Amino acid sequence: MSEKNSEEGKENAENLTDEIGRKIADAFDVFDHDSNKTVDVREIPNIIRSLGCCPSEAEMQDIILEIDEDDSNGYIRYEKFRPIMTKILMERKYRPATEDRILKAFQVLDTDNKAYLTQDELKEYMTKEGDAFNQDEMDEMLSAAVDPEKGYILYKEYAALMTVEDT
Amino acid sequence: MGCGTSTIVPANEPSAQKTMKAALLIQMWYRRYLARLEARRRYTWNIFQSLEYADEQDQLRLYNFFNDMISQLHLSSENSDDNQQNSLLSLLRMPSRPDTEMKNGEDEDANLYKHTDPQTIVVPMTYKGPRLDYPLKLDHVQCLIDAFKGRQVLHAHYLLELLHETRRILKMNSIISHVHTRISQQVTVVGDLHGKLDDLLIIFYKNGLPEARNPYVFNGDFVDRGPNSVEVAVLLFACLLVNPLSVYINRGNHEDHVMNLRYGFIKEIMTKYKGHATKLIRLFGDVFSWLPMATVIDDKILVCHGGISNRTDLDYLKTIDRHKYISILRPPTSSRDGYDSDDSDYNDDITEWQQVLDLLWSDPRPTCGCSMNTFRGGGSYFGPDVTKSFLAKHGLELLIRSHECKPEGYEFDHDNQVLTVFSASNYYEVGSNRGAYVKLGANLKPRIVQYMATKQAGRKLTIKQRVSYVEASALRSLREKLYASKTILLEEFQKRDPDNTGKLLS
Ligand SMILES: [Mn+2]
Repeated sequence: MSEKNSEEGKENAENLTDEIGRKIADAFDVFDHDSNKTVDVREIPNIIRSLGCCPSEAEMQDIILEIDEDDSNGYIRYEKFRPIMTKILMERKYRPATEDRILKAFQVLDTDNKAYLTQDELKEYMTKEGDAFNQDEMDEMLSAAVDPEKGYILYKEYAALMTVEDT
Repeated sequence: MGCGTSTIVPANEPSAQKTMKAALLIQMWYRRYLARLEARRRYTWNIFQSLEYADEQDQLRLYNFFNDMISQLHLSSENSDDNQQNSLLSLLRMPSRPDTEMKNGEDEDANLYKHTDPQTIVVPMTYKGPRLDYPLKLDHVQCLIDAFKGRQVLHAHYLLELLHETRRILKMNSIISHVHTRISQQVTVVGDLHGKLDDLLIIFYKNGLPEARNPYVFNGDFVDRGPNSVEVAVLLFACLLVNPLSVYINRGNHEDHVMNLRYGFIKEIMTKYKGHATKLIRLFGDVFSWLPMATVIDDKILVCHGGISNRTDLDYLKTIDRHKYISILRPPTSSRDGYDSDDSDYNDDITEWQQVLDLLWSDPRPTCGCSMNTFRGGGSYFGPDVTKSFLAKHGLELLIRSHECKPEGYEFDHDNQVLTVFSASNYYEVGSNRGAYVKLGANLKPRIVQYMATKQAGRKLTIKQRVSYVEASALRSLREKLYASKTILLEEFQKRDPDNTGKLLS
């Protein structure tokens, strides 16, 4: 018992690994429909993102290439997924942008400094730039982002709202 | 993009870079948000499915318990003439054939008719609902649809008549139906409806009423759970009577007296038809026992409610007398009808029963092989290898089944050799899932049509709203379940907390 204190540092590190391991297992299980420790490879982006990571589409493809096995038949094994995901989380890679950075990004798009974006502007940027949104993603974003009275996107309020909802 | 802003084009290269990066940042951020919503949606989905299947599992366990009891009573009653026990026995046997004493089919028909004669129920002059006469015409179907939209109830007299007519037609068919699309050049397959009239009406609206050029296969589970099982059944049967060669109705695991006792159909009949419920329940049960259990389309596609197992054999199924299964939950008993059956008879019965159970209760799984469906407590899990060898053995190309609610109303599995179609939208809760039906054209290539019945006219719910709504409802269900088991849970907790601290150590 007297050795407990000296062990504490090590224990904390272990606790962290345990906790990350549990989070990964939980997130994986939600998408493991048949409870056999495999998921459809198409679910992988959802699992990675629901664990709080925001890789770009290209980075996502790299991760998938790394965990996909030759004889996988489109299914990813938990055993293969866990170590790679653990590494990503331990190294704190692909961290989500803060509310402040999102606000700045909106300001870049708001070239006239009018403090809002019209629906057409947002659509134009989101479906033509970067990793373009598909129709469903665009519709979903607009449905919540557009101020019902004004008919355009007050992005400062929107970013704040999304941050609150996300926690 | 229409009118408005056109000065989006950036002036110089660095600014274009900046724009791209800003857009990318927002996209990555937003996709994470969507993924979290999706995870929440799956969580709730898992809760609903576990609750649903746990319930069905209970049902089978309970049934097996009663069945053991019946067997025991049966054995002991042979050695005694205790009248009280015999009457208890006959009561418990109720879900099985009520007419086991009947020697042949004609007697059975007469007896059933005697107990369910429509002529004994007079339609009052004040009745404003739909009236039917035979032969039934397409106009009658339209008239029923209009009446049901206006929340009218078909009078018991007409319902009994309709059921007798349906029974007469179904009796002439066999356990496996065969559909050919040579003339119609198409056929539509509809999955579980579960008493959801809105969904059936949407399908008819989008796809037209059944007729020679527009044949339908309804793949079982049209009753229970939803509020309009009677109306859905009436419409399907009326369509069958108008077009007996263009409407095929497969039996699902819910076209079953014992399931109906628990999942709402019987309750619905008792509420809608107070004085005549007994007759109707008996006749519905009998009609269900005459439903075919599978349909084969152009010798290429098998349509059945649950699925298959590694022992499923269509030729063997053809030899089965489907009518004896008033409830499919009832396993054959080892000693029946006075004679001492030896083990081989009993084993034959079990083999036959399992063929039926597999067809109506099974689910596909991505892993190879075949195993007991432990989640549901009945039927099998079948893997892609089972599907492949089954289809090859029977010269088939595709298995269409229902039985499982899917978020999109359909799902392909087993290398596209299994197609699940589920037609009750909003099954767990408003917004939980879409409904779908399948159209097979001349080349038999499946085309999926999806829809969502919704009361909120015009206004589309966002995913976020839908998830929150369904989540709340899942938690409510879970809470109810916990509450129902409160005493047991408390007892268990107290055992682990002898000092009454109100806390548990993990
Ligand atoms: Mn079912």
